[in-house]
Formats: sequence, structure tokens, C-alpha cells
Amino acid sequence: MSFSDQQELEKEIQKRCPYKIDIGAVFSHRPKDQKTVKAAAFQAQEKELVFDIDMTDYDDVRNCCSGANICDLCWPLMRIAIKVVDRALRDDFGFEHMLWVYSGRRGVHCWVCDEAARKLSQNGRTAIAEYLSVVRGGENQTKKVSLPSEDPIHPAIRHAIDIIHDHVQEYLVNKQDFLDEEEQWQKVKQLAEDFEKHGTNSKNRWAIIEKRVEQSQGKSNYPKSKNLDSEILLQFTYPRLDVNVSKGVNHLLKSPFCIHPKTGRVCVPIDTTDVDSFDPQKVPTISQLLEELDNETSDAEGKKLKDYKRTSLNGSIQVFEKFLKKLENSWKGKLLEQSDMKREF
Amino acid sequence: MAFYLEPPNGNISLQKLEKFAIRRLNFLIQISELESDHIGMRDILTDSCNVAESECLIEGTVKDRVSHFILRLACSEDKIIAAFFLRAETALFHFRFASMSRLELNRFFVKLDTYLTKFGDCAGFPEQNVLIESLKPLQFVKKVSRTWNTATQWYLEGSCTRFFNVPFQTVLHLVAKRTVTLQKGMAAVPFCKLHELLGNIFTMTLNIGLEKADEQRVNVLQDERMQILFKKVLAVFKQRFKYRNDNGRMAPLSLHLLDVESRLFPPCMSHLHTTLRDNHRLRHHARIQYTLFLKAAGLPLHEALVFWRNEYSKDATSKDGCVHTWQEHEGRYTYNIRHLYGLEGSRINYRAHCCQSLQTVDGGSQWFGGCFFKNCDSKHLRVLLRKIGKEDCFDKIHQLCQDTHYSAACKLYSHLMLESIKDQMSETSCNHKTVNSGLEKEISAVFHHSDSEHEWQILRKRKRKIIDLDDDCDEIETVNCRWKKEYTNCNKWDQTLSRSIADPKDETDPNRVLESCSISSNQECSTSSTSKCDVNRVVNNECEFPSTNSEGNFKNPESQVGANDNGVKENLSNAEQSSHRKHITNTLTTGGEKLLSRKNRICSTNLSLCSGKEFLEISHRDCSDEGVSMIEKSKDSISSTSDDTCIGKKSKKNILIGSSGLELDINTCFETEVNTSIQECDPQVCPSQCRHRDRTTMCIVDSSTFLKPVDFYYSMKKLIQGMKNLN
Repeated sequence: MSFSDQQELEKEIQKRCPYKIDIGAVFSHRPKDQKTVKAAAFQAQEKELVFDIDMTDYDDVRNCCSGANICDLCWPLMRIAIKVVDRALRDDFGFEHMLWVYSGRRGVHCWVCDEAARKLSQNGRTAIAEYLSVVRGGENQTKKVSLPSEDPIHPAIRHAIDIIHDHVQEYLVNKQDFLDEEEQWQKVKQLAEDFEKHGTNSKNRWAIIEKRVEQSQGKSNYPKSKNLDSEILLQFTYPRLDVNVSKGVNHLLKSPFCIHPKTGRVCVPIDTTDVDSFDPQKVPTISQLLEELDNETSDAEGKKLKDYKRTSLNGSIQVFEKFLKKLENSWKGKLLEQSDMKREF
Repeated sequence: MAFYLEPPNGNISLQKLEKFAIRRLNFLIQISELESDHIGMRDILTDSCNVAESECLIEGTVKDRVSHFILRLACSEDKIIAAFFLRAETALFHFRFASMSRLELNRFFVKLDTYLTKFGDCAGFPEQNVLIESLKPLQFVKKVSRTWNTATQWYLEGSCTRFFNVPFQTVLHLVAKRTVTLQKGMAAVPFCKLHELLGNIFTMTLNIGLEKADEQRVNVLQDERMQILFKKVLAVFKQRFKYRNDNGRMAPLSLHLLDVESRLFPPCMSHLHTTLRDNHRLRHHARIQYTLFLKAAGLPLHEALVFWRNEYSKDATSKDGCVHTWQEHEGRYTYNIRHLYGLEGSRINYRAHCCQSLQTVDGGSQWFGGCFFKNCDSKHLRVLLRKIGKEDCFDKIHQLCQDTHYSAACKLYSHLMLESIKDQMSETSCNHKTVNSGLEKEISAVFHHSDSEHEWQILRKRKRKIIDLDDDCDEIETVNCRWKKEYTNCNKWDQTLSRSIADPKDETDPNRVLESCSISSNQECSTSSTSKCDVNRVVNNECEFPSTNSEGNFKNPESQVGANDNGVKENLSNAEQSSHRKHITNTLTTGGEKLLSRKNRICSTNLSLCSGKEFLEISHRDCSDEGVSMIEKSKDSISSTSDDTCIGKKSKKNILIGSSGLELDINTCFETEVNTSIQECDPQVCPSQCRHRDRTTMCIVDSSTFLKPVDFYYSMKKLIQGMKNLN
């Protein structure tokens, strides 16, 4: 399906009442005409750079739930992920228009809508995704993060570690209690391979590691543990991107404000300036919205309001509109520039 | 200019055009097989076969440009070929850039800069704009260094403290590896990595060029002569890059044998198999990877459907919380599998992943699949080796993995696995031990050699022979004796021949003779211990090769060698290097086909895949037709070829590398001179392989590594079948 303008899309949505909408790339020809043009001529021209972070990828470092479930104890992982990736995209790559969207169940999506991002080649997308991935190796590797011990840590990772450090106590130690069970402690000890000390709970075990690293900073005979604390932190918390989603220009991604078919929750945008207060459990579901619509037919002052403004979706829509406004302004600048150019000639 | 921004103008004859195009294509094919190894590249350039064709490759010459642009047109049609062209040309550019002198670099940059300023301001040419846009990052470099002279100097000094800022899109692979720092979309690249930027710009411009060529090809093709030319070029390409479609000749994999057979799968796949059997689920990409592998391994569609249905009907035991079941999503799963088999949707008959793509994918922390040796840590590797009882080789493999030689690690692993299987089998049948070891040598030789059906048939014949022989031990003794004698004969001839090829003028130099002797004897030792040697001979040389005949033939080349001393020097100038290989092979084929194959097997360590293929092509040709006439010619040419390798190389090699590399190369040139000419005693020896042998002197691992996971399975299956038949 493809549409050339807003009206066309609106009409079709009202006619079909789709269950959910996935958005793909802008193509050189209408997809339905695909068979009428040469295969080589039918090409994706531009698409937002997208990222998909899914909680299932964190299963080996979550103690609270697994699979598609999420809870208050593991959601901080997503907060860290949003902060880390958002910072990198903004400061390192210079992108400005990032829209973070809750995926409705267990993860978040990021749409980068800058022109430079939309026109990126597949190689460009792959490179950015690689730049942002630190945790590697799959299930055949116990230690999934290795920082080169001889070089200074790359600034992007340094920033990520700083962000993570803000969450260590609150998230790792208190919420996840990540070193509490003997088994986990053994796992972490495996990463280092040269621990003897035992602790009793997450707090003092983490203290042991930190002390250990501090001690070995000056010494050369523990090359392995030089960045150990950072490596452990990264393994436990660094954002784990689904690289394949970002790589392809042809990959489809669920549109914002869809309803997740399993949970019924709306895929609402997340305000990046206030990531910490976003709670996925409080995201309105479709039935909740319907109820709200039914209950209040008019505002207290009797003014007629647009329907969405009466619901708990209002806040998220404002986030979205703010984002659109910014994007629109950048386009205005662009158009002005273009018309300036024309006048010159 | 190395950038090929503008096509050449003028007239050229059609024959020349074709000649240049095919020469360059052959050269690019050689390059692409190297994976941008600069030493290997130098070997190619100094390889005598290319010397005669060097004019197309000297940078900046008309022939260089003509051959580049005509190939660009021809290659732009097919996406795969275009990708190949892009890769090989980029590798060539990297090599050229690396061997440029300071002066040349400076000139190169200034030229690009003038081009940029000349066209940079003209907004009037829209089609030029894209090209100019891709060159613009150079201005960022100049902004820092101010003059190109300084930039060149900093680059050559390898300055890591001076940086230039370019848009990150121009240095993507540095970004991916996080070797540069980023600030608002600008990457700070140290000057020592200037070549990376240039390489990327080159790829970009060439990519644009290929697109443009694709548009223009329609016009070009109106000329019928061009159609014919392009067809010829593509035929050359397809011949060299034949997709080995040899799946048909093995018995198809059947479902009830899958668990047994999966032990012969490469680790990347057997791992997926066990995971699937344990957890009954695989993640999306792993599932695709394994389905395609099974398809390539010969599992029919209906069995594949049964296989996946059985697994997915069971409850998932993995932690990853997959709740999908076959019953619920039957339609989707069946569609997926049928799609991979090319029966749904766009009906593309997907090929299974090749090793290279499995080695390059990186799927993050929960990644399941990919190359095992890339993704495993020491613990998992140890477990893997313990399974086949070869933990003692852990260090070797681990080192290979560390050095990112994943294919070599996989190859070594296949050998270890074979050994362990062989050990198990020999335990059950002790009395076949000697024969086994002989056959194993043979097997491993074929294994390295190429998976040709022909070779396999020979092997089978031999097996039968050995079994016959085995029945009668006395006969073995007598045959052994006879072949011992034969063998010494062969060896003597070997030496004389190699000596004569090494350098006919130096015949009197005892050192040289010794050297060449030691080389050949080394090769003997490396593959066979003396005790097993005799059986090996039997296996190799076979009884069907009558001794009288061979002796008669042996005299023949020896007399040639005598003739060489006088030297037919007139032929020197017009003897082509391509004939060199052909002549020698033919001489040997007629002179002693078995001798050659034996020799070839002994040297199998050095055989590269490509030369191995080539050899087979030649040796498969019915030599009875051509052979007679060839042997006459070869008498003359054997001297000239050997001279040509020496003299031709000296003169042309240096030009080839470009005047820039002269100082550098004149030294290495003479060094390699001696080496290569000695190694030329076996025409199949590829110099780059020799270096591998030095680096890793482990059993019989060569670099003719598996290209696809399924190759691993096939060769294992074949070899084990061979051993089983024997027992």
C-alpha cells in the first residue's frame, strides 16, 4: 500500500480500519506498480533510520522476568538505553529529530527523521548500528564486552558509562540485586577469572569489584581487570539493539500510536527530556481510552474539545506534536533556502 | 589518475578493446581472491603470468583507463558482477595508493583538487554534481593541512595526533569499529588513516560510475559488436566464478539420519542442531541459517517441513520465552520454509550463507548462529574440542581465532575431527592401519585439492585396488619394492626438471641444485613419513601405470633438460607466460601423468583453490589430442619459459608496481626472485600459499578453506565414506 498524500491515507484508514500499521520506505515507484517497472528501477529512496530495542535481548541479565514480560524492576534498562542511544545520535552523529516510541509491550523504537538519516545507505545504517553496539558474541561467549585495555576508552562508551553510573545503585544493586544469588556471583567472577573474595550481597560484592579495579589500575599485572568494572556494567546494562532492523532500508516498523495486538496498549511517544518518569504500565490501553471517551462527553466548562484531548493520551500527543513542530521548522528553513537559491539564478 | 573520473577519448580497435578487457578482468579476479592482502597482491603483480599483460595495469596509462571503463560498462549489468568489480577495483586502488611515493601522492591529490575546483562551482551539470559531492570531503582534509604537500607528509609520517574532520558517512567502516571519535556528525580521523578516506571516496565515485554506466549501456548495446564483447567478458567471469553446484552428487540428506549426520556438520551448524533439539526453538535468523544449510545439504522440502514441525510442536525449553507453536502458526512457518526453498513470494532460490557472510554478521548479545569460531570464547572452544578428544590442539585453534583466521580455524578443526573419527575407526580394525594412513594422506590430498567428481572416482578406484592388495600382503611387498625403485627415478627427474626451471644458467651452481632438491625433499617429508611412504606410493601411482611406460617417458623430459642447456633463446621474447603453465603441465601429463598427480598431491599443501581448479581443468583436457603436438613445443619452450620467469620478471615486475614502489621493490624483487623461481618447479605452487605454510606449520592445513558451511559437511562425509568403504 502506498499513498501520495494525507487525504488518500485518511480515506483508506477510515475505509479499512486497519488492525495495525507498519511503515516502510519511500520508493521510487508505487509498490503496487512494482511489477510494471524493472526490478532495478524499483528502489527504496529514503527511510527514517530506525532502532528497535527489545527487552528479550536482555534476558541473560534480568532477574525479574523473561521473554515478553516487563516490570518496574527491569524497565530502567530501557531508560538507560534511550539515554545512551539518544545521546550518541544527538552528539556524535549530529541528528536532531529523534522520536522514541514505546512499542506497546516490551521495548522501544526510535525513529531518526533527519534528512541525512533518511537518506543513509544500507552501509551507513549498518555502520551506525555497529558503532552503537558494544555487547556482542551471542550465547557462546560468557564475557560479552571487551574493551581494548591498551587504548583509552572511546568517548562514546565513556559517556555511556557515565550515564550507566547514575543508575548503578538504583537499578543494578537495589532493583535487580544483580549479584545476590550465588550463581550470578559465580558468573561475574568468571568474567574476571581472578577473584578470591566472597561477598554476601549485591552491594558489598559490587564494592569488592570496584575496589579490585581501583587496586589494579596502577599495576600492569592485571591487564584483564583494568576496565573490568566498566565491562561488567556494560554487559549488564548497555543498550542491545536489534541490528537487523536498523540495517535494512526495506524493514518495516510499527507506526506510532498503533495499538499493540497483545497488550492493547497504545504505542505512545516518549519524551526524551523526561525518560525517567515514563512508566510502561501506565500507558493507556485501547479499552481504557474507549471508556474515557464514553465517560466524559464534554469538558467541565462546556467547551467542545477534540476527542483525544479528553483522554489520557493527551500528554503523549503533545510530545508528538512538539516533535513534529521541530521537524516542520527544519523543513521551513530548508524550503526558504531553496527558494533563496532560486531567486539567485 | 587513479580515480577514473573521466573516460578516455579516441579510437581503438575492437580486438584491442577485447584483449584489454579480458586481461584486466582476469587480473581483477586474481585480486578478488586475495582479500586485500598487500603481500599477496605484490605476488600477483610479480607473478609471471601477469607480467606480459601488465600494460593494462600500470596506473594512468591509456590501456589502464580503456580497460577499466570498458569493464565498467560490461560489469554494470549484473549486480553480482558489479559488486565484484567494485571490490576488486577498490582493492587495486588501495594497493596503488599504498605504493605511491610522496611525490606521486602529492601529484595525485593536486590533480583531484584541480578537478574539484574546476567542476566544483559549476552547478550546471547535475549529473556531475553527485560525483563532485563525493569528492568534497577532500576539502576538509585540505582545510587542516592547507597544502597537499603537508597532508602527504603527515600521512606518510603516520601521524596519529593530527586530525581532519569529515562527515561520518565518508568513513563508515572506521565509525563501525569505533576507531574515530564523532562530534555532531563529523568524524575526527587521524592523518595516518587518510588512505581509508581515499579508499571510501574511490568506492563511492566508482559506485556512481557504475550506475551511470548502467544507464548508458542501452546506447552502447545498440552496437552489435559490443554485445558480443560483453558476452565474452561475462563468460570469462562466469567460468572463473562458477558457483559450485555440486549438491546433486551426494545422496540427499534424509530426516532419520539427521542426528547422526549432524555430527559431521561444521560447528556453526551442528551447534544450531543441538540447540534446536534441546530447546525446540531457534531464533529467527538462526532458523533461516539452518534451514538454508539443510536445504544445501540436500534435505528435501517435505522432510524439512516434517523436521521443523516436529521440533516446533514441542514445548519450548529455552529461556527466551518463545511461545509460538507450530499448531498456532502453521501457515507462517510453512510459508517461511517454502519461501526459503524458493516456492513462495518472489520465488528466489536462496543460496545458503557462505562462510564469509557468517563471519561478518554480528547480531548482538543474544545472537544465535554466525561463525562458531568468531563468536566463541575459550571456554566454549574447549568444550568443542573435548568432544572430539583433541583438547591438546586448543592453543593452535584459539590463536587462529584470536587472529581472526576463522576459516583456518575451521579447517584445522575439520582435520582434527577427521583424525578423531579415524582413530575410532582404526581401533575397530587394527590390521588396516597402514593402508588407512596411506589412504588418509590421499584423502586429505584430494580434500585440499578440489571437490571434483573426477578425483573422487580415482580415489574410489584406488580404494578398490588397495583392498585387493590388502588381500595379498606378499604382493604388496613386491609392489612396494618396484615402486620404491620407480619413486627414486621420479625423484631424480623431479630434481632435474625443477633445477632446470629454476635457472638453466645456474645449472652448475651446486648451491642452487641443493636448494631445489631440499625444497622437493621437504615437500616429501612434510606430507609423508618414510615408513608409510611406500604404501602411499602404491596408492598414488597405482599399478595401472606400467613401469616401462613411465620410464620411457621419464627419459623424454630429461632429454629436454639437456636440450635446454643449449637454450632456444629465440623463443624467449614471444613465449607467453600462460603457455608456461600449460606446457609444463602438458609435458608432465604426457611424460608421467601419475607422476604429476603424485607430485601435485605432495604439494597439495601449497595448492590454492584457484590454481587447483585450473590445474584440473588442464589435466582433464584430453591430452592425447593436444599432448603430442604440445610436447614438441614444450621442448623449446621449457627453457624459454624458465628464462622468461627470470628475465621477464626482472624487467617487467618493477614497471608494473609503478615507479613509486621501485626502491621498495627492487630489494624484495630479488629476494622473491630466488624463491619464486625455485617454487616454480611446481607450476601449481602459488607463492602466497607458501607464506601460509611458513606461518602455520600445522599438519596439512592449507588455505583452500571452505567457502560455505556445506562444503565442510560434504568433504567430511566423503572422506568418512571413503574410510568406511575401505574397512
